[in-house]
Amino acid sequence: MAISKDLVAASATPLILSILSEGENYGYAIIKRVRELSNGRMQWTDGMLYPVLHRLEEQKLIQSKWRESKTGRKRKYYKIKKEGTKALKEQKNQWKVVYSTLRQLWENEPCLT
Amino acid sequence: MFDLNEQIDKWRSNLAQSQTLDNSDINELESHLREEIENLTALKLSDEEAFLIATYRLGDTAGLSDEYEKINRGKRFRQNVSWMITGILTYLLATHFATVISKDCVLLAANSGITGYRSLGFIGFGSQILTLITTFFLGYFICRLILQIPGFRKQIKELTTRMRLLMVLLVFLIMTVVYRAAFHIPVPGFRPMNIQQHVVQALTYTKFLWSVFLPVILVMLLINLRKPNLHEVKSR
Repeated sequence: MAISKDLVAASATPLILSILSEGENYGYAIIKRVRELSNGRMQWTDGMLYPVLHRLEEQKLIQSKWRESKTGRKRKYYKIKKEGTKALKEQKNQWKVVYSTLRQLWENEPCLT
Repeated sequence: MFDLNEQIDKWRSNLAQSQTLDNSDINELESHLREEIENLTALKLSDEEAFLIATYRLGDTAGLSDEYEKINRGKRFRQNVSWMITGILTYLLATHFATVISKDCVLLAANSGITGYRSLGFIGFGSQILTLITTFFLGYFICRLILQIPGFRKQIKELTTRMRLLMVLLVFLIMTVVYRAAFHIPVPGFRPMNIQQHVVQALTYTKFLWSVFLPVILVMLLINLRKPNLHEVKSR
């Protein structure tokens, strides 16, 4: 079961902010982490992550810096800012409302099997 | 024979053609691509297979440039406006130098008592050289002084060449503003007696305000427009 495109797009911001709130990270590792956590069911077109990251940077929720990794590869690392932590909290609350609303509806669903 | 670097260069120039991605964007995508290829070749895939899969996963060029277009539109507009302002500031600097030089010539000629066009020309030439040398040396020393401030030193090291040039321009501009303002300082306590003097005083005030505030406003605009790009560091 793959998750629909719209849902993937909608959840991109909270996902990125949550991963970055664990510590600074770079694009490739963020995608890898999402893939692992969702058991490969959340498929991003890899390139689409970067415009989202740049938008978040424009909104001053995260900041970026080019740095060389231990293996000598240059990577752009992203770090969450104070504003980003605040935005993440807000996003969490919103998703909780959506989740609890759906759960209440689905709990009353008659069991078909 | 499949040459990975050649293929990546081709892929890069394809992305660059769309013009919605800047160099930093493409570098970031390339870093991603290379990492993916490395992981895939570790799974015993050939370079060619790994390259095909990695570029497929990254998304096609058209889709990517569409997505970047949405983000970079505002950024590009800001960049264009800030270059326009830089142009205006440079123009202001250039006209200022021209005015200073001609003023110096007239002043020198008037006070030296020498007449005749030839001597006037020599004096003009000499003062021109002097003004340029003093201004550039002063500007240079101010730039060096700024570099001595430890906090600044680290920040400036991370800036792009463009930004450094911009900083030098700003230093010269500040010097010029001070210089120009000094020329237009209204005489304090001067009471105009007739209509002409009123007009002259009004003109002096306007000129003073204009010469001080126009560059200040432009510089503030420029700094505000440039701000989001301050952290951008060239990767190559």
